[in-house]
Amino acid sequence: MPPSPPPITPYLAVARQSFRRQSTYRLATAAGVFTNTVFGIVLAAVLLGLYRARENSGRPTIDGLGAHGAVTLVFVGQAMLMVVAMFGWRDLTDRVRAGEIAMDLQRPVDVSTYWGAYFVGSSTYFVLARGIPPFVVGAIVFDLVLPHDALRWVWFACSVVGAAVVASRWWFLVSLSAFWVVGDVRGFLQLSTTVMLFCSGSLLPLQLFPSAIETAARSTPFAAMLQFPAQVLLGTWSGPMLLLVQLAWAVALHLVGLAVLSRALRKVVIDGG
Amino acid sequence: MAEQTALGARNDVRAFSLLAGARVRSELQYRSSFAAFTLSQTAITFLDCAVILIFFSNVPAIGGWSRGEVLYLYAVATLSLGFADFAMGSIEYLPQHVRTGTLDRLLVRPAGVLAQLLAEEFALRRIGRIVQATIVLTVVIATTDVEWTFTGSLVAVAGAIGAMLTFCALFLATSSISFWSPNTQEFANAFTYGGATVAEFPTHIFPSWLRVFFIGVVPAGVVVYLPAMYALGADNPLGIPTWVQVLSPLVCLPALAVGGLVWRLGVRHYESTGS
Repeated sequence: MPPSPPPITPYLAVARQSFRRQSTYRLATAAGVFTNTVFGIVLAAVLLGLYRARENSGRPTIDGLGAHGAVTLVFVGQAMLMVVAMFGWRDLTDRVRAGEIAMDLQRPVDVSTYWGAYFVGSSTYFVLARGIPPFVVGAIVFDLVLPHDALRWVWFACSVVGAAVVASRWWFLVSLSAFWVVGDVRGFLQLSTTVMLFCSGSLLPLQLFPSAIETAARSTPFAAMLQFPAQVLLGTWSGPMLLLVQLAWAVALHLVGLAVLSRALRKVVIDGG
Repeated sequence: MAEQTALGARNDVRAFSLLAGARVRSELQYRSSFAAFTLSQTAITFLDCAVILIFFSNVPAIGGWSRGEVLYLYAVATLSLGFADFAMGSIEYLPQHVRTGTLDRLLVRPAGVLAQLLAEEFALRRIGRIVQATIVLTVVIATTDVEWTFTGSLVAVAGAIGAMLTFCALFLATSSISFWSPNTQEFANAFTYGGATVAEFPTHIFPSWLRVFFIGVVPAGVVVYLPAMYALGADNPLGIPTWVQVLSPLVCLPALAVGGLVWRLGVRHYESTGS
């Protein structure tokens, strides 16, 4: 084997390792793609049922969202689930729980950036392996809104990266609860998943929500992880604007994460011998 | 032989209650975690319910079924999924046992493997979904304008039991696949959680090819929909005969038979990791 070139930074090396780690589970990836596709098809069929009922009443769009747009949003959602780790991110909490975090703290790297790189490395794999296939199947089975404007695809791609970065900052923050909770943190991760699923528009497009709930959901970081990127693709949200929103969320969550981390480290007691 | 089977079953029940009891006691040691988990489970299902309410804020009916009728489907589907998850949720850990070879430990003990496996990760907190579904079901029955006949109620109760058992069978069959490929647990979710999502809506709104899959292959599209149609007297655009509606809860029997068969074939197929 030829020697691999030295990584530019340790963070890039971590991201690359994380990508490769995920890519070894081929069958798991296939099973996940199947599940995302089935859920996408079921949700799309339900929404089409809703839009058929709307058409009968003569008002086919809801808050500017038509049937094709809604189905497109469903498949963008299924494609993004793993990219933003919608169903939880156990890697860091497991290390805190096992006491292995002590080793991470001794490394000459910034812990927060280290885990961010780790997260984004997996996300990159999930975009390619878990994101694109269900979306392609969705585009074959249903009539999706696929813009001819290349620039819109570029902004959409950028917003997917932005979503992964915001999600990495969010899950880092949630994972830090493991420093305080003795025992099982799965409850806290699941609580986070619940709110994320609802506010990100992955259960139902936010346009369908009553306006007060819609406004609340739109002002969470979760809408910037899924609903807004999908809207960039549909052309109902500005790409550059979304990148600014995502940057603001990433910076805000990062700073809160650092503050919480420094508190955690002041009281840290490492489990295990 | 029959006596032996009865003895075996009693032994299994005893083993299950002893082991599951120990799990519950250990679970209750971590109070804040238990509270967060139960709360989040209830919150998740509450948000599911909110999704349906939001859905109906946009339309008065879907496929001719009103909000109350769809909420009834939702409550029974959630109750069935909740029951299956409560009773059999530990089976999701089967892939880990197969991968690491720890199933050996269960195979050498003098009690049924399935009973031990189900007790292994038994968790009281999974009751959250059942509690929430029962509340929704009670409210829906109390507020929806339905003429409850004797046979209608009977079919409704049989339908709920049939649906619970069918979802147990789905958990058993899909998780047993991990005897052959332990990295594909997510495959099971498409049938169990996917099946429950299908069951929340009247099956006739789905395109016919999807309907065939969720009727013929995974009966989730039958066991909640048809008994509810009979009990509520709901719209029947596919023209399903009354006797099919009444007998539909019996679908759980072949489902359980298939689930049991896949499990037994899987156990026979199992070869330890050799460590």
